[in-house]
Amino acid sequence: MSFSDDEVAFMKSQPLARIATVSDDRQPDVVPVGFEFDGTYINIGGYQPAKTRRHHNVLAGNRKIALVIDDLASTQPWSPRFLRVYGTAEVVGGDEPYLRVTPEISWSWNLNGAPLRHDESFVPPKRTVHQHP
Amino acid sequence: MSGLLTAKEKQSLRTQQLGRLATSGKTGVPHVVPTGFQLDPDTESIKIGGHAYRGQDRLYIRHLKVNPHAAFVVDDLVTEPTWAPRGVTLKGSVRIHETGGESLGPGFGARWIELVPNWVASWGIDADPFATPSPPRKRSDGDR
Repeated sequence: MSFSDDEVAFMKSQPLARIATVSDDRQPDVVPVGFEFDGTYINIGGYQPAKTRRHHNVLAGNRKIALVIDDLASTQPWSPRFLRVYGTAEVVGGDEPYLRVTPEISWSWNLNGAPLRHDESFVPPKRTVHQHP
Repeated sequence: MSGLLTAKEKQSLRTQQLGRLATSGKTGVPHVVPTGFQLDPDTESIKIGGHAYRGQDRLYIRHLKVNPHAAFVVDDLVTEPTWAPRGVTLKGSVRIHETGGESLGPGFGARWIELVPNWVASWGIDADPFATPSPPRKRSDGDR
């Protein structure tokens, strides 16, 4: 399994993801990043990435990451939607290193941007376990 | 106690509607959720409630019970007339409160969480978005 067509389209429509990593002392970090999904991996560069906490955390062996791509399709009415990805990251490249994230589990919710209803009609996110050859 | 946030950072946190909260449990696997929030301008803490109908034992709560450290980022991207990212990141410990969360939003439950920042960094708010980032401001928990 991989991302569905609507999940891929949502990724392409969004300029930013927020990626969370964890340091050895279990302090999380979260930062907005540009990203590109290449059909297999989610690649994340950025400004002087080698100096960032997220690279330090991954290079220290804390390779599990979570990222969320989300927006408000509308604020009136309030219409949030998201795609969250758990995965494993590695630092790739030399002078211009970037993070290459292998997606493992993802959850998407309300990608068509329906208004949020404050009641029991909540539909759980769609969960996907990603398989890699 | 002296604050960590600048006036412009507080103003930004009052006008933004969404932030993203990162937590991690025992196993060191992070989690991240988009969420609404309120800034308490006096204590500089971030208050986050939750919808009652989703239950109030979501993963970030279960994480915070075993590891109170969290990170919260509030940012957006101005694209016109030029591309200009801006945002604030806050890190610190979270307290879980069991009463009073109903006031934080329609349909919210009693439980809410309070992130007390001891580490703050921002970009594009007090300075040009492409200026060299200023170092994070920190406070040891013993200063409170």
